[in-house]
Amino acid sequence: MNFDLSEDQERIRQAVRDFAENEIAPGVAERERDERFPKDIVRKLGEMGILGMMVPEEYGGAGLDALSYIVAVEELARVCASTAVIMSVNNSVFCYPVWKYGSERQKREILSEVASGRALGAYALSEPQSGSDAANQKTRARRDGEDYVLDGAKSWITNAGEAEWYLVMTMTQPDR
Amino acid sequence: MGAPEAKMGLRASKTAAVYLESVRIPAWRRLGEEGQGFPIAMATLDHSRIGIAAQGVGIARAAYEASVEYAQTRQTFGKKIAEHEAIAFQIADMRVQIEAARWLTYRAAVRSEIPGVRYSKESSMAKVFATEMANVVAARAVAIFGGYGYSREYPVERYYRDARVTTIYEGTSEIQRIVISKNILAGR
Repeated sequence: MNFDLSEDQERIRQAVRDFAENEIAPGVAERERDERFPKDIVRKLGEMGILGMMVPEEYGGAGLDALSYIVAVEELARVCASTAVIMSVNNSVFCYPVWKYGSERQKREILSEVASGRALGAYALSEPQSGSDAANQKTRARRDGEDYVLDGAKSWITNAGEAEWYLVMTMTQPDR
Repeated sequence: MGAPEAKMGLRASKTAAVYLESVRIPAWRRLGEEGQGFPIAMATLDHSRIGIAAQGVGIARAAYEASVEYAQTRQTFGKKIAEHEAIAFQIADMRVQIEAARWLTYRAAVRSEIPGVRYSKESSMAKVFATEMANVVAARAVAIFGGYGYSREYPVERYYRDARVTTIYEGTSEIQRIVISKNILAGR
């Protein structure tokens, strides 16, 4: 068992820590007091490859391992937990499932945008009546030709309004 | 989109309701096959909970580092508060808790990439421990700072507020305990 981070992982920790201390720490209290979304910081995180860390480079990501991602979240949260959640939602509840379960077309057309930070992602699972009982979903998707038509309400969506892409949980066969 | 929620913490991040009213989505954008949505959502949470654990570790480190610095500056009864055992032991406990949480979190992350290995239990263990730890450590930091810990002029009250949601979102602590116990009782 080796408890040390690799040289690459240490380099990522240092780079994220430096960025957090130099670029995020100034103004952190004011942004949180004024409820101001850190648009410029998020754009820079995208340029650094921090918004799609585990996604392969061919789909716009940085192609790094899980521990590198975890260390980056830790370093961001140490300076600004708001920035950390914006980043972790993009990485782990949008990019991760699209990378793992998406079609080639979805990876080329959607994942590459979100993993590279050109667009921001969000994940919509909770509903007004569905939190811990996540299977109790009321949002419906009805098939109509080449489309689905979605109706429902989603709650507590991190990055809502800032994100261009939303991964939405919905029922296609509510009777089953 | 609903109006942004007015939140206790994470106030620089945006959280809102999303309303879908006859929203037309091309079928090629469906993730997975019909019927796979829920298993994909649960597998996603196995992965993402390790990230929330890391948030807990990061917030706790901030609270701990601020406490160590402050305890070596602030004086009461003619000496630095770090020289009072009551404070020194709290600092020791904070560090122990952070280290323990960090290794649980790192282990879950490493395990998550071993092909074919389940890691729901490890992910939930890291999440519940690290996020509850962050709440305890941030609360202790507020106590160490005294009145200054309660003031928005100093950062520790923000750590305390930011820590709070980590035991709620991406599965409450109670949900993590369900996941952990179900895995144990299933012999995994």
